[in-house]
Amino acid sequence: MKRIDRDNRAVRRSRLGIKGKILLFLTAVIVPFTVLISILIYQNALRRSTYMSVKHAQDLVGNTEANLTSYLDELSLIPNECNYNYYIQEYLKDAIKQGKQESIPKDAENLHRYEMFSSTIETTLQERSDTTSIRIFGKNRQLLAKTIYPDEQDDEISVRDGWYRNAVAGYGDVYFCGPEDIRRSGSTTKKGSNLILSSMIRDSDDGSFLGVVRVDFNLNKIAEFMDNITIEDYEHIGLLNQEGKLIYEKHSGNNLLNEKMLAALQTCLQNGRWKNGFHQTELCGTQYHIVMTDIPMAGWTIVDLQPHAEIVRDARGSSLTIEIVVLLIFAAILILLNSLLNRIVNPIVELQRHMNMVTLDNDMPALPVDTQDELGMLVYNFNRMTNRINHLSAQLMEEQKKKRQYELQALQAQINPHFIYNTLDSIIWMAELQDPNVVPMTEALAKLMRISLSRGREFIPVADEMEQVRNYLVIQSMRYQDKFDYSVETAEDVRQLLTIKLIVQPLVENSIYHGIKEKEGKCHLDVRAFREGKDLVFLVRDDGLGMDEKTCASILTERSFHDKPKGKGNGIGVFNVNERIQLEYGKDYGVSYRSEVGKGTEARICIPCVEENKEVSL
Amino acid sequence: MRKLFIILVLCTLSLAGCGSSFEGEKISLSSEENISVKTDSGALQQPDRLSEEGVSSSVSAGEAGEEGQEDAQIVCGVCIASDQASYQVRLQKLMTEQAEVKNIRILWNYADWDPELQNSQIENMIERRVDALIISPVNSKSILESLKDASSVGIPVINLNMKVDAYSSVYIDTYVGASSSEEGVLAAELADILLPDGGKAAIIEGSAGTDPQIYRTQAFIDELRDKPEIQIEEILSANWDRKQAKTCAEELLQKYADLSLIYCQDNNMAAGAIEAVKRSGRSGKVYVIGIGEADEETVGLLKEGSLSGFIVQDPEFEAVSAINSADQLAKGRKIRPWIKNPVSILTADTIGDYQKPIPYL
Repeated sequence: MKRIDRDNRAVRRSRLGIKGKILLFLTAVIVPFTVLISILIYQNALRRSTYMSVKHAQDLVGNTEANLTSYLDELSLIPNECNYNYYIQEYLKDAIKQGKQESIPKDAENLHRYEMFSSTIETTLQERSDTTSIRIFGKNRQLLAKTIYPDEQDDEISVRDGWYRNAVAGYGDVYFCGPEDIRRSGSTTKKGSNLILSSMIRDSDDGSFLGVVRVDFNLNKIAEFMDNITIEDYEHIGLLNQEGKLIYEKHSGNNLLNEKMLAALQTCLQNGRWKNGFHQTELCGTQYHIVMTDIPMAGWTIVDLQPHAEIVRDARGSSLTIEIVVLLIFAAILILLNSLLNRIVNPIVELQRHMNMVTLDNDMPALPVDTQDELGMLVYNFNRMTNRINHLSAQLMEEQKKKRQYELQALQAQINPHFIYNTLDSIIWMAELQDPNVVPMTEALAKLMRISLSRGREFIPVADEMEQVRNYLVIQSMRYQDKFDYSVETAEDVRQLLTIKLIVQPLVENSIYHGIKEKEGKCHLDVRAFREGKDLVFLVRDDGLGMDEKTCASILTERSFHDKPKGKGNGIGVFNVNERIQLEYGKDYGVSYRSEVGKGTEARICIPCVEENKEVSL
Repeated sequence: MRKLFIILVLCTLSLAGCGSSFEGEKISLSSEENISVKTDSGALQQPDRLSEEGVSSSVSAGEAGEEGQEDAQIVCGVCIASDQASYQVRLQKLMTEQAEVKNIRILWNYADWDPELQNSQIENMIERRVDALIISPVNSKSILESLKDASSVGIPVINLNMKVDAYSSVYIDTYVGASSSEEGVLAAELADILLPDGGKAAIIEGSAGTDPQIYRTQAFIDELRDKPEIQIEEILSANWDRKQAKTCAEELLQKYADLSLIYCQDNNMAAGAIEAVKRSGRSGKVYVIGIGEADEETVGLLKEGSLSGFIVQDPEFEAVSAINSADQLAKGRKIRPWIKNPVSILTADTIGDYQKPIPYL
């Protein structure tokens, strides 16, 4: 048993079971599969969120661009109007003709024209929240006309001023510049909120230069467009001018367009590699998604910045849910599979454990059959097989026992012919001497023979058994005259009890041959039968030679001790008596010896009390 | 077990399906490439403007040659307000002559004073991708959207004769025509000369909503504000039509016994008014002044004395300048925003000295 267990454990350690194999295999398949699917989902999500963010940015930038373009179109109608206004044209022509140096018109007609056009401009100025002043500068950059409410600014212009040079170079096209710092007299300068629109006014007669109109406007309207845009938390949208300076920006707290970033962006814009549209690039060590669009009429650029990391985070967020679901599905599959496999493997394991326990030594209880499937059939068939084995082994045991009993009975039935010969010889000798004892001797022999046969029965009453012993002792006491006295006592209450026949006589024979015969002087031999509790006890006691402990112990264990008949005894032997008793009544019963050298031996047979007419069964 | 497997396979397939549907949208993520998702930004972009005069970018010279001659004849769409109004008719005739000189093919459109019709005509011209558009709008504000469309696809627009309003003028390349304000101012001057002692005046206007109608009246009134002795009694509209003008004049003559001056916004209507004045027998008492070409009829009326004077506006200048501008613009050149038709006062005394202005180029 233990060895099998050890083997099994070794098997388990070195090789996986069916369940383990299947689960391992499936895990090996599923894990890469899950990883693959997760990667796919993540990539899709990334692509998707990139697509969405770019689309969003493009919509945003596109809308802003459209809004700003139409706004700038609208603004440019102010310088445009100067080109188409009769009064301005006439006033400026006059002014140039007179070499005008100052802004106040001199003659009445001039004044009227000045009034006419300034009223037009004035209305524009008042109606618009974004225009702060409209001024016209002449050829020598002198101020020719201005609105009545200009911002407090220098009317002096410098040769270097871009708005003037570019307006002249633009030949009537509008030119945008700024933002510029607004200088207010005496107070602090307000930074970068003033934009300039300038355009050349051309003579409608010959296209010659009349002046440059300069419109100053603030960020009110641009702010209105930009502030209405809804942007993501991490997004930054900025409006840059030709030089890459920030005109206006919108962000939700996360200012991406710091000065360093602006500089980097400027470099990218100015090296001309970037066209309108989407770019993914690294600026100042961070990956950005950038969508940009030009506003060609102003040379401005709208830039939308989104950090790549945020889009990745978005993608992660959206793919995580699906990934978790996939993982859960696979976990559920494994768990379900595990329980399914348990239902298959556990009965097999149970069966196998059961098989290990099957030996011929003990009976096997049947295994319960749980299912009607292949496994159920297997268990059922196994049960049938063990059942059959049990049955066969019981049968075999029975047969063995029977066989042994027959053997013993056969041995028992024999009376040593040598004994009979010796007895008969003694009888002949006694008859010749006309010894009166010849009759009891012969009678005893006859009785002995009769009880021995006892009509083939195996069980006889204790009284008969004791009678047999007495007859035997009669014969022996005559053969060995003066060698020993004997007494045979049978308790009244045991006389009718049944016993296996011929179990006491071999012990008596043993006592005579081994204890008494060799001893000098007269010995005593007592044979008694009595009840002791529930047991029936035969006691054979002599005061012969006795045995040492070793010999005493070996009587019952060594079959060969007296078994080799040397023509003495009837050949049954104490060992066989003991075996027979135990075969018949069980291990609790049998023969026991107590002996002391020089003092005598006591043999004791213990069997259960069995009433007559009751078959002994085990 | 088998079912589980099938579910697994289905899951995989559906996921793969998702994957492929994303790929259908095709986003190229390389940093230098533009994303293929297109916005309408292209349509919003301004046509390439030229920074310098004379630098050619030939906006659509090649592709617009729809009728594809070898010499890539310039095709010019002309949308004029009416084929009935006399000045418009003159312009049409003169432009046809000049177009032959310049070898320009003209596609004619007459809006019949219908703004919607004119818009659809302009859109049609834009669709045909003409090389240039010459438009004489029936209403100064009505064609803004069409002008934006033309501007967005880069078709140069010449605004002829009747100017569009300030908002629309952002989208035109040039305006060929007189200053209606100037004409109004000059008409007022003429009225001042004719009526040194003041008197009652009335105005007969052209079609409402056109630039000449608006500013010839407004400037006239503005100028006369300083001269209260000349009173403007009534303003009537005759839609540039002679018969209607005659009816209006009859009404005015009947209404105001002491009427001294009828200011007609063009010579055609002035001729109608003169008929009415003649019939009423008040010639010499009621001055009629007009605006327009110094054609045979007008000069005749002037010499006859029934037309007291008029502001001369030469259609030939406009027609020739318009065609020349179209030619220039179609070739990608840049021209000045306003090619102004010079106007002046003509009376019986000054008619002999009149010289036609020299057209642009």
